Amino acid sequence: MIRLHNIMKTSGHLPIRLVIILAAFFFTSSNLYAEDDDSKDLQRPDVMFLDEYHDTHMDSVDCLDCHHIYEDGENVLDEGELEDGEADTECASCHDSSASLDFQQAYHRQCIGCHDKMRKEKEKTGPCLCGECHIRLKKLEE
Amino acid sequence: MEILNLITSDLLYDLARGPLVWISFLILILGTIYRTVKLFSFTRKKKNAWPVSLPKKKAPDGDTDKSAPLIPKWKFTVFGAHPVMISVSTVFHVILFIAPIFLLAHNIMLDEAVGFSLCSFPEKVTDYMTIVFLVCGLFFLLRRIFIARVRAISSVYDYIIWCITVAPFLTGFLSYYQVFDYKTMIILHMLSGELMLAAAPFTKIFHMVFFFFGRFVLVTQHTIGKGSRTW
Repeated sequence: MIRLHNIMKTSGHLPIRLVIILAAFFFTSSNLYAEDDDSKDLQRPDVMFLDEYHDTHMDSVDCLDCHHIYEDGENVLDEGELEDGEADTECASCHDSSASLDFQQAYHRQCIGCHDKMRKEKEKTGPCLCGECHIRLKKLEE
Repeated sequence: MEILNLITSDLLYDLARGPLVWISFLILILGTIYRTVKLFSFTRKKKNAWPVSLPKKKAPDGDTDKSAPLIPKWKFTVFGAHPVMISVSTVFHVILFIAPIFLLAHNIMLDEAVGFSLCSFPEKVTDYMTIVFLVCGLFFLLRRIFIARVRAISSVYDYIIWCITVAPFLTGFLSYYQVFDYKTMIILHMLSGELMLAAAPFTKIFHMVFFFFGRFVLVTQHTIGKGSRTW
Protein backbone atom coordinates (compact mmCIF):
# COMPACT_ATOMS: atom_id res chain seq x y z
CA MET A 1 0.00 0.00 0.00
CA ILE A 2 2.78 2.42 0.87
CA ARG A 3 4.40 1.88 -2.52
CA LEU A 4 1.18 2.59 -4.33
CA HIS A 5 0.75 5.83 -2.41
CA ASN A 6 4.20 6.86 -3.56
CA ILE A 7 3.34 6.14 -7.18
CA MET A 8 0.23 8.28 -6.85
CA LYS A 9 2.17 11.17 -5.40
CA THR A 10 4.87 11.15 -8.01
CA SER A 11 2.80 10.55 -11.12
CA GLY A 12 -0.48 12.29 -10.32
CA HIS A 13 -2.70 12.07 -13.36
CA LEU A 14 0.19 12.39 -15.72
CA PRO A 15 -1.28 10.46 -18.67
CA ILE A 16 -4.40 12.58 -18.53
CA ARG A 17 -2.34 15.75 -18.25
CA LEU A 18 -0.24 14.76 -21.23
CA VAL A 19 -3.26 14.02 -23.37
CA ILE A 20 -4.77 17.42 -22.52
CA ILE A 21 -1.52 19.21 -23.33
CA LEU A 22 -1.22 17.42 -26.67
CA ALA A 23 -4.86 18.07 -27.56
CA ALA A 24 -4.40 21.76 -26.75
CA PHE A 25 -1.28 21.76 -28.87
CA PHE A 26 -3.19 20.45 -31.90
CA PHE A 27 -6.12 22.83 -31.64
CA THR A 28 -4.37 26.08 -30.83
CA SER A 29 -1.35 25.80 -33.05
CA SER A 30 -2.73 27.42 -36.19
CA ASN A 31 -1.30 30.90 -35.64
CA LEU A 32 2.18 29.52 -35.00
CA TYR A 33 2.36 28.41 -38.59
CA ALA A 34 3.34 30.88 -41.29
CA GLU A 35 1.79 30.06 -44.64
CA ASP A 36 3.91 30.50 -47.72
CA ASP A 37 1.22 32.06 -49.86
CA ASP A 38 -1.42 34.61 -49.02
CA SER A 39 -4.45 32.75 -50.26
CA LYS A 40 -6.32 31.12 -47.43
CA ASP A 41 -8.07 28.30 -49.22
CA LEU A 42 -4.93 26.93 -50.87
CA GLN A 43 -2.63 24.74 -48.86
CA ARG A 44 0.28 25.09 -51.25
CA PRO A 45 1.27 27.79 -53.73
CA ASP A 46 -0.67 27.35 -56.98
CA VAL A 47 1.14 26.40 -60.18
CA MET A 48 0.82 28.08 -63.55
CA PHE A 49 1.31 26.36 -66.86
CA LEU A 50 4.62 27.73 -68.15
CA ASP A 51 3.94 28.49 -71.84
CA GLU A 52 7.44 29.62 -72.69
CA TYR A 53 9.08 26.74 -70.89
CA HIS A 54 6.94 24.19 -72.72
CA ASP A 55 7.46 25.96 -76.03
CA THR A 56 11.23 25.95 -75.77
CA HIS A 57 11.59 22.43 -74.43
CA MET A 58 9.08 20.65 -76.61
CA ASP A 59 8.84 20.18 -80.35
CA SER A 60 5.14 20.77 -80.49
CA VAL A 61 2.66 21.67 -77.84
CA ASP A 62 -0.80 22.66 -78.88
CA CYS A 63 -3.33 24.60 -76.79
CA LEU A 64 -5.95 22.00 -77.62
CA ASP A 65 -3.74 19.23 -76.21
CA CYS A 66 -5.10 20.26 -72.85
CA HIS A 67 -7.96 22.74 -73.32
CA HIS A 68 -11.07 20.92 -74.32
CA ILE A 69 -14.82 20.83 -74.58
CA TYR A 70 -15.73 17.24 -75.29
CA GLU A 71 -18.78 16.34 -77.32
CA ASP A 72 -19.22 12.68 -78.25
CA GLY A 73 -15.59 12.05 -77.36
CA GLU A 74 -14.29 14.77 -79.63
CA ASN A 75 -12.69 18.04 -78.70
CA VAL A 76 -14.96 20.66 -80.26
CA LEU A 77 -13.29 23.68 -78.65
CA ASP A 78 -12.40 26.47 -81.06
CA GLU A 79 -8.87 27.66 -80.32
CA GLY A 80 -9.90 31.24 -81.09
CA GLU A 81 -12.15 31.25 -78.05
CA LEU A 82 -9.21 30.68 -75.73
CA GLU A 83 -8.60 34.08 -74.29
CA ASP A 84 -7.89 35.38 -70.82
CA GLY A 85 -11.08 36.33 -69.04
CA GLU A 86 -13.31 34.31 -71.36
CA ALA A 87 -15.52 32.75 -68.70
CA ASP A 88 -16.91 29.96 -70.88
CA THR A 89 -13.56 28.45 -71.74
CA GLU A 90 -11.97 28.69 -68.30
CA CYS A 91 -11.19 25.33 -66.69
CA ALA A 92 -13.20 26.15 -63.58
CA SER A 93 -16.35 26.85 -65.59
CA CYS A 94 -16.82 23.08 -65.94
CA HIS A 95 -14.37 21.67 -63.39
CA ASP A 96 -15.95 23.07 -60.24
CA SER A 97 -16.57 21.30 -56.97
CA SER A 98 -19.68 19.59 -58.34
CA ALA A 99 -17.88 18.09 -61.36
CA SER A 100 -16.61 14.51 -61.38
CA LEU A 101 -13.12 15.97 -61.70
CA ASP A 102 -12.83 19.13 -59.64
CA PHE A 103 -10.49 21.97 -60.54
CA GLN A 104 -7.53 20.55 -58.64
CA GLN A 105 -7.98 17.03 -60.00
CA ALA A 106 -8.36 18.34 -63.56
CA TYR A 107 -5.21 20.42 -63.30
CA HIS A 108 -3.26 17.58 -61.65
CA ARG A 109 -4.32 15.10 -64.29
CA GLN A 110 -3.37 17.40 -67.15
CA CYS A 111 0.12 18.11 -65.81
CA ILE A 112 1.07 14.84 -64.12
CA GLY A 113 -0.83 12.74 -66.65
CA CYS A 114 1.12 14.19 -69.58
CA HIS A 115 4.47 14.12 -67.74
CA ASP A 116 3.87 10.52 -66.71
CA LYS A 117 2.81 9.47 -70.20
CA MET A 118 5.93 10.95 -71.75
CA ARG A 119 8.06 9.38 -69.05
CA LYS A 120 6.67 5.99 -69.99
CA GLU A 121 7.50 6.70 -73.61
CA LYS A 122 11.09 7.37 -72.46
CA GLU A 123 10.91 10.98 -73.53
CA LYS A 124 12.39 13.87 -71.62
CA THR A 125 9.63 15.26 -69.49
CA GLY A 126 8.56 17.37 -66.53
CA PRO A 127 8.10 16.66 -62.83
CA CYS A 128 5.56 14.30 -61.25
CA LEU A 129 6.00 14.79 -57.50
CA CYS A 130 4.31 17.44 -55.34
CA GLY A 131 7.21 19.66 -54.38
CA GLU A 132 8.68 19.76 -57.86
CA CYS A 133 5.83 22.01 -59.04
CA HIS A 134 4.55 23.41 -55.73
CA ILE A 135 7.79 25.11 -54.85
CA ARG A 136 7.80 27.12 -51.67
CA LEU A 137 7.94 30.82 -52.38
CA LYS A 138 10.93 31.35 -50.13
CA LYS A 139 12.82 28.83 -52.20
CA LEU A 140 11.69 30.40 -55.46
CA GLU A 141 13.01 33.79 -54.40
CA GLU A 142 16.49 32.38 -53.82
CA MET B 1 29.00 12.32 -55.16
CA GLU B 2 28.54 9.07 -57.05
CA ILE B 3 25.87 8.02 -54.58
CA LEU B 4 24.12 11.39 -54.81
CA ASN B 5 24.05 11.03 -58.58
CA LEU B 6 22.51 7.60 -58.27
CA ILE B 7 19.88 8.79 -55.81
CA THR B 8 18.77 11.68 -58.00
CA SER B 9 18.87 9.59 -61.14
CA ASP B 10 15.73 9.04 -63.16
CA LEU B 11 16.03 5.30 -62.70
CA LEU B 12 15.70 5.46 -58.93
CA TYR B 13 13.03 8.17 -59.21
CA ASP B 14 10.92 5.92 -61.43
CA LEU B 15 11.57 2.78 -59.41
CA ALA B 16 10.76 4.37 -56.06
CA ARG B 17 7.66 6.07 -57.44
CA GLY B 18 6.32 3.03 -59.25
CA PRO B 19 7.04 -0.66 -58.81
CA LEU B 20 8.77 -0.43 -55.41
CA VAL B 21 5.60 1.00 -53.86
CA TRP B 22 3.53 -1.97 -54.95
CA ILE B 23 6.30 -4.46 -54.13
CA SER B 24 6.69 -3.11 -50.60
CA PHE B 25 2.93 -3.19 -50.00
CA LEU B 26 2.81 -6.74 -51.33
CA ILE B 27 5.63 -7.80 -49.01
CA LEU B 28 3.86 -6.08 -46.12
CA ILE B 29 0.52 -7.78 -46.74
CA LEU B 30 1.75 -11.25 -47.71
CA GLY B 31 4.46 -11.20 -45.02
CA THR B 32 1.96 -10.23 -42.36
CA ILE B 33 -0.43 -12.99 -43.41
CA TYR B 34 2.43 -15.53 -43.50
CA ARG B 35 3.76 -14.61 -40.07
CA THR B 36 0.30 -14.50 -38.54
CA VAL B 37 -0.51 -17.95 -39.90
CA LYS B 38 2.84 -19.11 -38.50
CA LEU B 39 1.92 -17.75 -35.06
CA PHE B 40 -1.24 -19.81 -35.10
CA SER B 41 0.59 -22.93 -36.28
CA PHE B 42 3.12 -22.57 -33.43
CA THR B 43 0.33 -22.43 -30.89
CA ARG B 44 -2.52 -24.74 -30.07
CA LYS B 45 -5.92 -24.32 -28.55
CA LYS B 46 -5.63 -24.22 -24.83
CA LYS B 47 -7.11 -27.09 -22.85
CA ASN B 48 -7.83 -26.27 -19.23
CA ALA B 49 -4.33 -27.32 -18.22
CA TRP B 50 -3.46 -24.65 -15.71
CA PRO B 51 -5.57 -21.87 -14.27
CA VAL B 52 -4.00 -18.53 -15.02
CA SER B 53 -6.52 -16.26 -13.40
CA LEU B 54 -6.70 -16.44 -9.66
CA PRO B 55 -10.12 -16.84 -8.15
CA LYS B 56 -11.46 -13.49 -7.03
CA LYS B 57 -11.19 -12.98 -3.31
CA LYS B 58 -13.88 -11.18 -1.43
CA ALA B 59 -12.65 -9.02 1.40
CA PRO B 60 -14.23 -10.04 4.67
CA ASP B 61 -16.57 -7.46 6.16
CA GLY B 62 -15.00 -4.88 8.42
CA ASP B 63 -11.52 -5.54 7.08
CA THR B 64 -11.38 -2.61 4.64
CA ASP B 65 -9.04 0.23 5.43
CA LYS B 66 -11.28 3.29 5.45
CA SER B 67 -8.35 5.72 5.59
CA ALA B 68 -6.83 4.44 2.36
CA PRO B 69 -7.95 6.48 -0.68
CA LEU B 70 -9.74 4.70 -3.48
CA ILE B 71 -7.12 3.75 -6.07
CA PRO B 72 -8.34 3.78 -9.64
CA LYS B 73 -7.93 0.56 -11.55
CA TRP B 74 -5.56 1.94 -14.19
CA LYS B 75 -2.96 2.62 -11.49
CA PHE B 76 -2.32 -1.12 -11.42
CA THR B 77 -1.72 -1.30 -15.16
CA VAL B 78 1.27 -0.17 -17.18
CA PHE B 79 -0.41 3.26 -17.35
CA GLY B 80 0.11 3.56 -13.63
CA ALA B 81 3.60 2.11 -13.57
CA HIS B 82 5.13 4.04 -16.51
CA PRO B 83 2.75 6.93 -17.25
CA VAL B 84 5.15 9.05 -19.29
CA MET B 85 6.49 6.20 -21.39
CA ILE B 86 3.05 4.85 -22.14
CA SER B 87 1.61 8.26 -23.06
CA VAL B 88 4.47 9.04 -25.42
CA SER B 89 4.22 5.56 -26.89
CA THR B 90 0.47 5.86 -27.47
CA VAL B 91 0.81 9.21 -29.22
CA PHE B 92 3.73 7.87 -31.28
CA HIS B 93 1.84 4.82 -32.47
CA VAL B 94 -1.40 6.66 -33.23
CA ILE B 95 0.45 9.21 -35.37
CA LEU B 96 2.52 6.48 -37.01
CA PHE B 97 -0.69 5.09 -38.48
CA ILE B 98 -3.01 8.02 -39.04
CA ALA B 99 -0.56 10.65 -40.34
CA PRO B 100 0.63 8.77 -43.47
CA ILE B 101 -2.79 7.29 -44.22
CA PHE B 102 -4.65 10.60 -44.07
CA LEU B 103 -1.87 12.75 -45.56
CA LEU B 104 -3.11 15.02 -48.34
CA ALA B 105 -0.15 14.46 -50.69
CA HIS B 106 -0.38 10.67 -50.34
CA ASN B 107 -4.09 10.69 -51.08
CA ILE B 108 -3.75 12.97 -54.10
CA MET B 109 -1.17 10.57 -55.55
CA LEU B 110 -3.41 7.63 -54.72
CA ASP B 111 -6.20 9.42 -56.57
CA GLU B 112 -3.92 9.95 -59.57
CA ALA B 113 -2.85 6.31 -59.56
CA VAL B 114 -6.08 4.41 -58.94
CA GLY B 115 -8.81 7.06 -59.02
CA PHE B 116 -9.68 6.50 -55.39
CA SER B 117 -8.56 8.21 -52.22
CA LEU B 118 -9.34 8.54 -48.55
CA CYS B 119 -10.22 11.77 -46.78
CA SER B 120 -7.22 13.72 -45.58
CA PHE B 121 -6.22 16.11 -42.82
CA PRO B 122 -5.18 19.66 -43.68
CA GLU B 123 -1.44 19.74 -44.24
CA LYS B 124 -0.97 21.91 -41.17
CA VAL B 125 -2.39 19.18 -38.97
CA THR B 126 -0.22 16.41 -40.40
CA ASP B 127 2.73 18.79 -40.23
CA TYR B 128 2.25 19.15 -36.48
CA MET B 129 1.62 15.45 -36.09
CA THR B 130 4.98 14.80 -37.71
CA ILE B 131 6.73 17.20 -35.34
CA VAL B 132 5.12 15.45 -32.35
CA PHE B 133 6.07 12.08 -33.85
CA LEU B 134 9.70 13.13 -34.24
CA VAL B 135 9.80 14.45 -30.67
CA CYS B 136 8.39 11.12 -29.44
CA GLY B 137 11.00 9.31 -31.55
CA LEU B 138 13.74 11.43 -29.99
CA PHE B 139 12.35 10.57 -26.56
CA PHE B 140 12.66 6.85 -27.36
CA LEU B 141 16.21 7.30 -28.63
CA LEU B 142 17.34 9.27 -25.57
CA ARG B 143 15.63 6.78 -23.30
CA ARG B 144 17.49 3.96 -25.00
CA ILE B 145 20.80 5.76 -24.63
CA PHE B 146 20.53 7.23 -21.15
CA ILE B 147 18.41 4.87 -19.08
CA ALA B 148 20.64 2.04 -17.88
CA ARG B 149 18.06 -0.73 -17.79
CA VAL B 150 16.98 0.04 -21.37
CA ARG B 151 20.57 0.48 -22.58
CA ALA B 152 21.44 -2.91 -21.13
CA ILE B 153 19.03 -4.68 -23.49
CA SER B 154 19.66 -2.49 -26.55
CA SER B 155 21.72 -3.68 -29.47
CA VAL B 156 22.63 -2.27 -32.88
CA TYR B 157 19.53 -3.99 -34.23
CA ASP B 158 17.30 -1.81 -32.03
CA TYR B 159 18.93 1.36 -33.32
CA ILE B 160 18.53 0.17 -36.91
CA ILE B 161 14.83 -0.44 -36.34
CA TRP B 162 14.56 3.02 -34.76
CA CYS B 163 16.15 4.51 -37.89
CA ILE B 164 13.86 2.54 -40.22
CA THR B 165 10.80 3.81 -38.35
CA VAL B 166 11.80 7.44 -37.96
CA ALA B 167 13.47 7.93 -41.36
CA PRO B 168 10.28 8.14 -43.48
CA PHE B 169 8.86 10.79 -41.17
CA LEU B 170 12.07 12.82 -40.99
CA THR B 171 12.61 12.75 -44.76
CA GLY B 172 8.91 13.45 -45.34
CA PHE B 173 9.09 16.43 -43.02
CA LEU B 174 12.23 17.77 -44.71
CA SER B 175 10.83 17.31 -48.19
CA TYR B 176 7.56 19.01 -47.17
CA TYR B 177 9.60 22.03 -46.14
CA GLN B 178 11.83 21.53 -49.19
CA VAL B 179 14.96 21.62 -47.10
CA PHE B 180 18.08 20.56 -48.99
CA ASP B 181 17.55 19.30 -52.53
CA TYR B 182 13.89 18.40 -52.92
CA LYS B 183 14.34 15.61 -55.43
CA THR B 184 17.01 13.85 -53.37
CA MET B 185 14.94 14.17 -50.23
CA ILE B 186 11.68 12.94 -51.78
CA ILE B 187 13.44 9.92 -53.27
CA LEU B 188 14.99 9.14 -49.88
CA HIS B 189 11.52 9.57 -48.38
CA MET B 190 9.96 7.10 -50.79
CA LEU B 191 12.77 4.57 -50.38
CA SER B 192 12.76 4.78 -46.58
CA GLY B 193 8.99 4.43 -46.46
CA GLU B 194 9.13 1.41 -48.73
CA LEU B 195 11.90 -0.07 -46.58
CA MET B 196 9.75 0.35 -43.47
CA LEU B 197 6.73 -1.31 -45.08
CA ALA B 198 8.76 -4.22 -46.40
CA ALA B 199 10.70 -4.66 -43.15
CA ALA B 200 7.62 -4.62 -40.93
CA PRO B 201 6.60 -8.30 -41.15
CA PHE B 202 10.11 -9.69 -40.74
CA THR B 203 11.57 -7.53 -37.98
CA LYS B 204 10.54 -6.58 -34.47
CA ILE B 205 8.15 -4.09 -36.08
CA PHE B 206 5.96 -7.17 -36.35
CA HIS B 207 4.86 -6.35 -32.81
CA MET B 208 2.06 -4.59 -34.68
CA VAL B 209 0.49 -8.05 -34.88
CA PHE B 210 2.31 -9.83 -32.10
CA PHE B 211 1.23 -7.27 -29.52
CA PHE B 212 -2.43 -8.12 -30.11
CA PHE B 213 -1.70 -11.82 -30.43
CA GLY B 214 0.20 -11.84 -27.13
CA ARG B 215 -2.33 -9.76 -25.27
CA PHE B 216 -5.61 -11.14 -26.52
CA VAL B 217 -5.00 -14.61 -27.94
CA LEU B 218 -2.16 -16.21 -25.99
CA VAL B 219 -2.80 -17.28 -22.44
CA THR B 220 -0.15 -15.69 -20.23
CA GLN B 221 -0.11 -13.62 -17.08
CA HIS B 222 -0.44 -10.51 -19.25
CA THR B 223 -3.48 -11.64 -21.20
CA ILE B 224 -6.33 -9.20 -21.46
CA GLY B 225 -9.53 -11.18 -21.37
CA LYS B 226 -9.39 -14.96 -21.29
CA GLY B 227 -7.16 -15.87 -24.20
CA SER B 228 -7.60 -19.10 -26.11
CA ARG B 229 -4.22 -20.42 -27.28
CA THR B 230 -0.96 -21.59 -25.79
CA TRP B 231 2.49 -22.41 -27.19
